[in-house]
Amino acid sequence: MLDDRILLWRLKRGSPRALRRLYGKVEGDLLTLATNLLGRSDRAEDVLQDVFIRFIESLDTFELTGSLKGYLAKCVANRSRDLTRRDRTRAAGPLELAQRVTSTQAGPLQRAIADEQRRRLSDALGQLPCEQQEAVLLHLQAGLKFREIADVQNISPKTAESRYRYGINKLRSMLNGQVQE
Amino acid sequence: MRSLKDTRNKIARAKVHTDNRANQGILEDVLERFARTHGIQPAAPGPNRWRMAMKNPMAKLAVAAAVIVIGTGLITIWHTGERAAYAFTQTVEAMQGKRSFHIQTYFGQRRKDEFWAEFDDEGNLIRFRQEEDGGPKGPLITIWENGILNRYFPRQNLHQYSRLPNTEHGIEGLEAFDPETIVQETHALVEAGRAVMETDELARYAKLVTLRVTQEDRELRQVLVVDPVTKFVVRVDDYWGTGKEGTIHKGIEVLEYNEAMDPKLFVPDFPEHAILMDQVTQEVGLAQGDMTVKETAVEAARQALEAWAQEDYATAGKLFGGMPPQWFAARDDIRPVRVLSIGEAESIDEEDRPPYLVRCQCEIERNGRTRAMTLGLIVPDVDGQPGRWHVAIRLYDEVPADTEDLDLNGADLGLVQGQLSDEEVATAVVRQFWESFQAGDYEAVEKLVPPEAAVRVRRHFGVIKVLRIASVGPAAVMPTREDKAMVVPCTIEYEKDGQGGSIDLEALIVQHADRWVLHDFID
Repeated sequence: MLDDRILLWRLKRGSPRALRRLYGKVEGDLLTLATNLLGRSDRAEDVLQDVFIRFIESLDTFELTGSLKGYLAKCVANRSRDLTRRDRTRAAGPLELAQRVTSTQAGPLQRAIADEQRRRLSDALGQLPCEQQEAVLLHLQAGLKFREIADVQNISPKTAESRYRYGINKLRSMLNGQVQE
Repeated sequence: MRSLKDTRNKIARAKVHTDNRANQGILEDVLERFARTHGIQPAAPGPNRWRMAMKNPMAKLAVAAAVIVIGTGLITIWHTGERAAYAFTQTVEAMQGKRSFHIQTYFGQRRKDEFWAEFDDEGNLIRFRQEEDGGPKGPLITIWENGILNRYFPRQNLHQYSRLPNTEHGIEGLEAFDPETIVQETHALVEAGRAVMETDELARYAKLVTLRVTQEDRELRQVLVVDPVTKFVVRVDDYWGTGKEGTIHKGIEVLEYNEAMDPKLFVPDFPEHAILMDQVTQEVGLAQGDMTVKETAVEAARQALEAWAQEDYATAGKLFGGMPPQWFAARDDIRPVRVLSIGEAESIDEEDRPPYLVRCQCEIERNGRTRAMTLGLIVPDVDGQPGRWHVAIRLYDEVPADTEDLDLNGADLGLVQGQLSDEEVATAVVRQFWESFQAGDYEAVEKLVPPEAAVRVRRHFGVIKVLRIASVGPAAVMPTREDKAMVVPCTIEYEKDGQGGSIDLEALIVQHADRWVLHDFID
């Protein structure tokens, strides 16, 4: 069994196999996170590449305190936020996400229903304030704890939890059609 | 009305995917940067670009000319006499664009695995066969083609038939044995000045050219044997370490390179009476539906054990990943007659992620007596069946029905550090572990490992007889771990079912207070 510590240990010893393994293990979740945060898959791919390259360049001095995926998710969130601030636009988000989400449904009818559900989810996510959207995605898609989200957002863990709660409640309301913000 | 839990699940499961080309592009760039950082040749980017060039006849000529010019300038092994100068770049060139290889791996002087693999024009794996000599789990034959994996465990007479797509990353592990990659990595190291290549004085009189590569910063010595006619590498031997325990040796012999292969090699020819674990022609496991993964794990464990207890082998078989009734018949001695409790889904490592372990308390009957038993079920997802999870027996341990839980406080586990350095005590733990095993003193063995690992140790290593502890150490610090830990390599020669073998392992030794315990074996 290769856990993160062993994976990192091998990465530091220069194992390309370990790097492939790490990449294969996290790329799906990190790409999902970056796409949802940025609203654009092409930018999300750039972020993923950038985060990985920065990570391998800092390997010599890198010390693992949590999980590797958690650390990389934090990097994705930070980098995505930098880009969003720079661009000041999130216009491409919902449609892009709806088009690129995987479908595991079998038939065309089920797929159409699923696509519509995803489009609604994507729309709803896009309507959340950025901080709440980030807290929800980091917690649910990247699996970060509130303490880790607090580090990313430079706030207290309680505030991170509050942002998540506000965000998830708003999402539920929007998806139930009760609130149209 | 959508519940909060439903909303959470919906977000957690919404996955985005990129197209494979983009994804592969990212990985290649990252690998290339990684290779530059560590002074090694990336496995993926080089061949891809090379193959693109080699598809064009004009480009092929230009590349060949460039290789000859560069090769004579950089890595040339000169032979005086009639034979023309041999340049290692000729081997690099000759071995580009692999279509197939057949290799034999060695550890020490012992035969280990044999591989046959075929690739398409783009270097993508089409199919492979692997015959593993086997460690504690026994021999294993693996055949993969068109996303279908057939694995046969002769010792268990078990045939696992499952789906395994070849991702853009390739079937994991195969690249480590790829002669093309090995040659490229060596070439890159020498070119970068990180290794020195030399040939034997008398090489010009030999039919094969022997190249010795010394990579000082990694304490690696590599010996490559090249056929000067085909320019192919026919044998690669790696030697690590110079300590008093001697060197560690791993080798591969290239038996065939780019030769047509017998199609029968890739046809599963396992015994007809093998126990078939079928995950292809039927849906197996439990569908997750709206449950969380943890809830699914607990529910799958509950349903599996209840079906087993009721001798409903059709249901139990699917939940156990496609096992037929004969598999259960062979385990009738641990068949639950009553399920007492189903535990929660536990993480099996430090991260809260699948697969989870569910510990269950059951009653079994043996020789007319009822006994309590702890059955640990691991619940992985089913290969090729998204959203479905099956159970497998991870551990079982009988406990007398009237025994309370063991009090582990103050357990006399591991070795006390005393005046020993971290490296010394970690090495001593591993040496004592294997010496105790060799002496058959399982009580002493189990005192070196955490209680939860004792059953696993018995199951993994109880079937072998340790013949010789070939090497232990040197220990290396695992710097990324929060608590103190060391990694200790070891090589063990053993006998099982009348056959000898050797296995190289890395033991993870962790400090608990003033004691050091063998936490696990890596891989």
